[in-house]
Amino acid sequence: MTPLALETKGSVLVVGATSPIARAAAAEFARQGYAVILAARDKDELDRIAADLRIRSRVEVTLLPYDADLKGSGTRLAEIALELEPPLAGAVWVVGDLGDQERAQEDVTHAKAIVRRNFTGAIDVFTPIANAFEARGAGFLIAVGSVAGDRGRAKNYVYGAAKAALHAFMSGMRQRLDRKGVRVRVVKPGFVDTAMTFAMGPLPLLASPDKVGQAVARAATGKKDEIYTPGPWRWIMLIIRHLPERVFKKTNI
Amino acid sequence: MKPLDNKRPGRAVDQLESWGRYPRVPARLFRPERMRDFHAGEGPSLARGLGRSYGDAALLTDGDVVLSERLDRCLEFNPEAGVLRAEAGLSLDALIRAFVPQGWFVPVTPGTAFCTLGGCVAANVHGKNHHRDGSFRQGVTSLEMLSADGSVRDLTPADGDDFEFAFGGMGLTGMIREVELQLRPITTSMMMVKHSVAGNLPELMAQMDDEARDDHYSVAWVDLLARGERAGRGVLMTGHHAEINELPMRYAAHPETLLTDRPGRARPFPFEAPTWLLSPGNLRLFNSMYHKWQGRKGTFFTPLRTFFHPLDAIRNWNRMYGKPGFVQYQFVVPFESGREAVTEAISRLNAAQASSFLAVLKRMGASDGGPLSFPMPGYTLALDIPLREGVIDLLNNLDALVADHGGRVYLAKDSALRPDTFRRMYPDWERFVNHKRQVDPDGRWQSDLARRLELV
Ligand SMILES: Cc1cc2nc3c(=O)[nH]c(=O)nc-3n(C[C@H](O)[C@H](O)[C@H](O)COP(=O)(O)OP(=O)(O)OC[C@H]3O[C@@H](n4cnc5c(N)ncnc54)[C@H](O)[C@@H]3O)c2cc1C
Ligand SMILES: NC(=O)c1ccc[n+]([C@@H]2O[C@H](COP(=O)([O-])OP(=O)(O)OC[C@H]3O[C@@H](n4cnc5c(N)ncnc54)[C@H](OP(=O)(O)O)[C@@H]3O)[C@@H](O)[C@H]2O)c1
Repeated sequence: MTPLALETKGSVLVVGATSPIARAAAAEFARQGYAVILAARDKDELDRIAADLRIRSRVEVTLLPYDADLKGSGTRLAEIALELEPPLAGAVWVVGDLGDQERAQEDVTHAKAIVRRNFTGAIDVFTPIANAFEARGAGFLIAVGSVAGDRGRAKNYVYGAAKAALHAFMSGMRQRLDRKGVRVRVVKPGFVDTAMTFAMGPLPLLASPDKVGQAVARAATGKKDEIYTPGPWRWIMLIIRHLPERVFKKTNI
Repeated sequence: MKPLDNKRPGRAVDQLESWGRYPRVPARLFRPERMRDFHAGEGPSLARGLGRSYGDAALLTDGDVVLSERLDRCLEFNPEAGVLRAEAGLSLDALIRAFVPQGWFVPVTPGTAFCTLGGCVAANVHGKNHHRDGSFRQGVTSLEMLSADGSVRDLTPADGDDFEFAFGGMGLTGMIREVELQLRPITTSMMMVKHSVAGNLPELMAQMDDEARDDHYSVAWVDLLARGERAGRGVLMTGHHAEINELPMRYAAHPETLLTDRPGRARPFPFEAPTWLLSPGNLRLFNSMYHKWQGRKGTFFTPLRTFFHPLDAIRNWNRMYGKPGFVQYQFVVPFESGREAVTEAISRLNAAQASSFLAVLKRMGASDGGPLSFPMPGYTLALDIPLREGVIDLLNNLDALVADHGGRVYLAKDSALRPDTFRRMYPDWERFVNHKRQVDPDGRWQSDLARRLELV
């Protein structure tokens, strides 16, 4: 155990840190020896999660405010995170909002808010960090997307579209930055046992937020660029993606 | 049932059950992820931990049941003093995982680690050290409670009844949000254990009463199925946290392993067992083997998980009792007439052929906590009874016996007690009801247990 090892590992910025998936990911990063920077809106919850990480993982935790709905918030977050010590080794975007599809069909501002909270917010945060990582020739960027982004469905297509855009944004950055030593990953969970799904009752292939959070943190070092979690979703989505549109439009999937 | 609103995503369930899987009732479940959302629903509401109570204490027919399990954060820890402040949904399992490697253990633990701090306070649980250390109350220095009027209060022993009545309050005085606990320092994660065999009940009880044999933790397993001269034979199991210098060299040679926690991987009970599995013949065979096997062990070292939570190695072992479910019956009777009462209870159980192989006998120490807190000085016997026709009548018959001897049954395991017998067992019940009326005038916090015992 060299104390230096801790410093050289650097810190990881987790955006959307009050999500239970993010909490598990942060704990896994802490276990791997990273310091963590947690960002979200809910201060009271951030304080609780930070205290828990400090006690259970005995790790350095920094809290930063972030609100995707506030102009400039994402850019400022990235700037501060890049200045903190130990130096930033990676950033994870977990922010997301399923929103209310029916409301989004009537109210365009709500639709745009969903897009902001799932996609455009990530542009603000990731762009300066990606550039810094590119210059340094190291670092990782991970975004939590969703299987919902693999195909637009009547039930949640605004959310799905935002996730699809997020996937494409990450894929483009990957092509640009992978050759510069920056790892760019997307994790696409299926159903996760969180507040989002609790009311729906028992669901197939339901994953615990702990498992998904661990998959998110492991994506940083793993070989896969796009991770479906739990694994079988890769095959389910392969089929769903390949259904011809004329068939798909008639189904209720 | 009312439709659920979008803002507070809840789930309507038809058959909510606790560990005994009896009774099963319809309810609305809420599982807040953030502390702010941990509060009552619109109507009658109840906090629920991991549902390790056996009967109807954590059930509320057609009401709003609010799960604490996602509110499990450690908030403050003083590594010098070993004082931990955590959210009420923290399980003992998670606590042990995090703190045993740092040299700290829970001051009191029930026979399972899959229960929450909130549940341990609400039932004022006891462990194998009750005769020496008292109940869960003894380790708790402060509580944060949400009252029926929505206010959040930090309570300490200086707050008198508001604090004390939460212990054994069965969730009826408010929702416990945070618990501050004095942990127990340990130098190794091993237990030094001694098993001694007793050929019958008087012998077993004499061993338990013998101070020379006593240790920090003490519990006896009793074979309820043995008849005649062997009736009530058993194995007394005593132990303490092993100190480094007690351990054999092979442990001490690897100091980094002294405080490892070995939770093991819980294996699921594979199926809902057919009821013949636990036929009296099979149980008798099992008990005979168990008696020989455990008795032969003598003095040995074992990891603390194995000592305190042996059943946690099998997830869902409650399915072993098959579809109808089971009840766990636990009572305590004062020492004076304890032998007589325990002997009589065992013979009534045998006469009713209420087969059980998990029977545990133990000495309890002083009472603490609120008026509905279970532990009191005396002998306590706990056993599983598979549910079938006549079992509730049998329990009511035993309840009367226990009350006649000045004893009581454990509400966290009960599903049969009647209000009149309950009042005989818990003579201070009126103080509890008055207190509840004062802190919860509209009867916000309810449970099926509270309704059955006419506490609400
Ligand atoms: C295998 C096994 C062994 C056991 N051994 C023992 C033992 O040795 N000694 C012993 O004392 N008990 C024992 N028990 C019983 C168990 O410890 C208690 O029932 C305990 O209360 C379970 O905790 P829980 O978190 O599962 O609570 P639940 O079963 O979910 O709830 C129990 C009660 O606590 C209330 N409650 C829960 N959380 C809160 C909260 N946050 N605020 C307010 N009220 C709340 C509920 O309303 C309910 O009345 C055992 C149980 C099992 C399954
Ligand atoms: N749950 C599932 O079944 C599931 C399935 C597939 C994918 N996902 C994805 O997984 C991620 C986490 O989901 P979850 O279920 O854990 O959701 P969650 O608990 O609601 O977490 C969402 C996170 O986003 C943050 N957030 C929301 N709006 C924000 C805003 N305007 N500004 C800043 N932060 C904001 C929240 O923080 P604050 O509220 O504190 O600001 C919170 O940290 C999301 O991207 C989600 O789309 C979830």
